Amino acid sequence: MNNDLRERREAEGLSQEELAVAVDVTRQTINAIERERYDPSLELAFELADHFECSIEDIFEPDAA
Amino acid sequence: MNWPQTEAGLRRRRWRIAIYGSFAVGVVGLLVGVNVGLDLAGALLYLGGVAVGSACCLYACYWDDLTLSDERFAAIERRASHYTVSLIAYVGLAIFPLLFVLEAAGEFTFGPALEAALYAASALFVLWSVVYVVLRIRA
Repeated sequence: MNNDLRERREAEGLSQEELAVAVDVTRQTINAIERERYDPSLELAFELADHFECSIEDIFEPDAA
Repeated sequence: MNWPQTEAGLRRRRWRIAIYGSFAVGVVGLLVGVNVGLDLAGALLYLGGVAVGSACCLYACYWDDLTLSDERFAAIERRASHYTVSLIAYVGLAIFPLLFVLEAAGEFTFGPALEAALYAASALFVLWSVVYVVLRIRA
């Protein structure tokens, strides 16, 4: 899954740890999502979308086949 | 190494040090105690380390409302469990039926250690099956 989480986070001036605290996960998980090594659950994807006030599809998009 | 910048991050780091430190002190204490002939002292240190580490873990997770672990860690644990159980299953299926045949043919005898391993693996998979059935019924 591709995502633009890093760009959105940096645009808000947040560190990975601050975003992690905001959505109640660990900093390592935010790092893994940004590096596209971990696909978040639907629940966490909604949390992130809520935080950035956008839809899940705005942040995440499936890998090109 | 990324050092925590937030209050929550610092608290998480302190709890992790307390939890892993307690377990480490217990295990090292046990090993040292056994090796220098102070078995009881080592065992007591191990008991203390495990008790303190477990208590810290429970407190941090349930009363301090701190995120020590999250869904990614749970996913990694699920994968690790899957690989471990699969490895035991494949190795067991590859070895034990052959050993039964050899034993029946009088070419092999199960020793106490191998017999214990067989019973342990059997108990593991009986437990796994029970848990699987319960989860499947509830799913």
